[in-house]
Amino acid sequence: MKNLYLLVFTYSLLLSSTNYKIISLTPSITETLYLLGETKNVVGITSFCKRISKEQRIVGTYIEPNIEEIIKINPDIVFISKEGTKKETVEKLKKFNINVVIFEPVNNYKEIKYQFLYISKILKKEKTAKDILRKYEASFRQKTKKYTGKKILCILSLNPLIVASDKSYIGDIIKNSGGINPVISQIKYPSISLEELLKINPEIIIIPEMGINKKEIERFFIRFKNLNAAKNNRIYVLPSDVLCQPNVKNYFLSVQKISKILEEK
Amino acid sequence: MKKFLWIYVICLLFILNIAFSLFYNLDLNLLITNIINKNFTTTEFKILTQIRIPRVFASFFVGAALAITGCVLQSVFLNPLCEGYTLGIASCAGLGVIVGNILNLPLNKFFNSLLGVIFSLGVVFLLVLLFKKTVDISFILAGIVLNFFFSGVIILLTLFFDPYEIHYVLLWLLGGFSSVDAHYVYISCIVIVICIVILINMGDKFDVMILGKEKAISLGIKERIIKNISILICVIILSLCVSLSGIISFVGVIVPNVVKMFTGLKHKNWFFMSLIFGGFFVSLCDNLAKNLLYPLEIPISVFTGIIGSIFFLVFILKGNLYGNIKS
Amino acid sequence: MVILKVEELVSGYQDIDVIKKISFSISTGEFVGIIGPNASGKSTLLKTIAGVVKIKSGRVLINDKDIMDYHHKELAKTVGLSTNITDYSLNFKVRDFILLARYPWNFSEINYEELYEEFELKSILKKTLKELSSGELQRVLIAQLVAQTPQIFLLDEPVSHLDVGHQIGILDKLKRINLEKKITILASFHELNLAVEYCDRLILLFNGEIRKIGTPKEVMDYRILEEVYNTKLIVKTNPISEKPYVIPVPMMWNNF
Repeated sequence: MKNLYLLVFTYSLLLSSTNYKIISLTPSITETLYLLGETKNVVGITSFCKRISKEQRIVGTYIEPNIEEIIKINPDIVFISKEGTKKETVEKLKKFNINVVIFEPVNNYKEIKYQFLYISKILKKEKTAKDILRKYEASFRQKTKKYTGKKILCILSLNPLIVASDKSYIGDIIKNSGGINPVISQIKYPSISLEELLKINPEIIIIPEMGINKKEIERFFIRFKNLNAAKNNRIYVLPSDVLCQPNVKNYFLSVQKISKILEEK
Repeated sequence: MKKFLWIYVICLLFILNIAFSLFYNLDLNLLITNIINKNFTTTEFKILTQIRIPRVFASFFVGAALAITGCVLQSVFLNPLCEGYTLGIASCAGLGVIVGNILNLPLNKFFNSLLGVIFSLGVVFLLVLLFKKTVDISFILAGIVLNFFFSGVIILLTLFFDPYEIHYVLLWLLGGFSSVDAHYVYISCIVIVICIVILINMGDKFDVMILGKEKAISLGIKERIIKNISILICVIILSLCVSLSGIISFVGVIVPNVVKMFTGLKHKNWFFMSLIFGGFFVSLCDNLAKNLLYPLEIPISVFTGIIGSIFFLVFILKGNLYGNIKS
Repeated sequence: MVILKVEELVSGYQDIDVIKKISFSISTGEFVGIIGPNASGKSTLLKTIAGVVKIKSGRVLINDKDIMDYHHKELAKTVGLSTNITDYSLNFKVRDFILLARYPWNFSEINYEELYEEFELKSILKKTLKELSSGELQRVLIAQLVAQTPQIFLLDEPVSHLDVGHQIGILDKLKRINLEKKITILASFHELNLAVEYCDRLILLFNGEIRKIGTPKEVMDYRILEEVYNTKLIVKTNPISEKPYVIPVPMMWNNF
């Protein structure tokens, strides 16, 4: 922990002026940076990130950033997440004396909050960050007083059937919005059998609209009319950029959405 | 004269390709003034020397190495489908590196890949011992088994270890030259060149060896020793390639078979032309992968796969695969 | 002068002994045929002499020197074996294929033109082995052996799968080489009559042992042959060469 603060300290020294260049290689962190008001300084993003001005350069994909482009920009700092990056990329960037901050994957609110504050510390925007958090947390407390106890299953892929367990980021969202995630497993995104799906018999099913189209979903659940969720027509398709890109804003948006779903009927 | 024309064309293409991959999208004026002013710390210069030159080297030599190991393994096992990947050697080397990475062995990357080398060496030679009698088909089967084993172990590892940690390594295994380390590239290139020189010098022996075990021995070839040595060299080269660029499959089958149609079965020619064309092919593919949608990079296997199979199909349709094109 | 001497030779594969204690010797310039039914050890004997199959006990002496003491290439300079080649190598061009025989001599030159002339290969030099007829292929195989320039030719069934014309053609060439260049030939045969016509001596193998060795007249004893081949045979004399020839008698005529 001490080391970490030292690190933050050194990084924030680098960013002492108001004009600095940031490259973010992860969509969720790009969002966080925008949320903190860093619209001008984020000069390089991936092709998966939201592009807000024409001056921003695209420096490759989420998985394969283009090192040359990054070096040409010569940024003060590069934000990278561990999930999508090759070790070699990081090593190569470090060889060119570029400051790389690597973020561990986040799985629950605590970690998101920590990451958020960490970024804000580097950017010296702790006050803004705390204000934002306070605002969100206040609305959060109002919303989730009722504990419904309904079983919500989040399906990420139909074939094979992959769901989000209680240890995952989505599991944490479900818990905090007042539902129960019926899949309890150490593995974050386990694949379960159809039998298991019938046994769980969730009351609500949510599906991020990533790769699955609606027709496929319909065709799938025609076979399982007995499921409570299918019977009561409570299968929801949610936009995936909100549900699957872990950052503070998306977290609260998702919690809001799911608690709204819980309140229906 | 007409015969040499296509050689000139290919040489020209090759030079163009290398020039393109070295200088595309780089401010040349700035670079030249930098060099004239002996200012070697600029970004342009750094990009050229630390990213592009190692990358060209790596892609050329990996391609050459993959092609020549393809040739050698095909002649050793007398099967035109053999290469490092189909025989499972590449997978084994990859697995070695992954395991080394996941277990956080206190070794640097070079030694991790060496671990891969030793691992695959062990497996392959175990198989050589097991299949002492029937060499031909069982090796392909063993390769398939090894590949299955490999994917099985990966899935198993994702269960027990942090999947992100494995993801980290698996991405690298997909193949590509985007972030090769300059020093490691040069060391590997030297080793690869040494191995290639040894293999080309063994060309005459391979000519005799493929006549069959009995004929080869009666012509004074120590068949077993040559086979073992050449497999050993192939394993070393392949492990280096895997540690450099991950697994690039298909090159080792396509290039030797296409080249064979022109050179015939004379191994010295075949090896030499294969390694040149292999290097050219992979560096071309890498060039396309990097620059076609600049700054987005496309995985190199996309190009080796697509271009390779189109070429292959054309050649199969044009003449029979094993015959020679008449000059 | 004895060029090849086999003393109490036992050889075979893994745990099967195919050749069981065989002794014989051949002198320079002889044309010796090995005959015998299938699985009697003809090929194995030839391969053992060529150093391809491991010797389990006994010795093979060539020019009074044990073949185990020869260097690989030295042995290849003295003994040439003609045997089946892999399908894979059928992609060689004829010219390249014949050149391979010079491997033990480090590819030193010989008079190839004469060789091509002798074996009528001029027209097929640029073809691959795959494109040849079996008669042509056999010619190429023998030519390769000649290019190897050994003192002893070991031929594993040089004329099987060929028609009579080609059989005679090949054997005439071999006989000429044998007589003109004083090259010793040891060849295995399925066709008894051809073996008789061309060979100075015959070795009759049966179950890995020598059943009879001697001149064709001595070996072509119908009692021995009937026992070894397990069929009825008639042995007559060829009116021109005055050598014995064998006529098999099918079972259906046995009652007559």
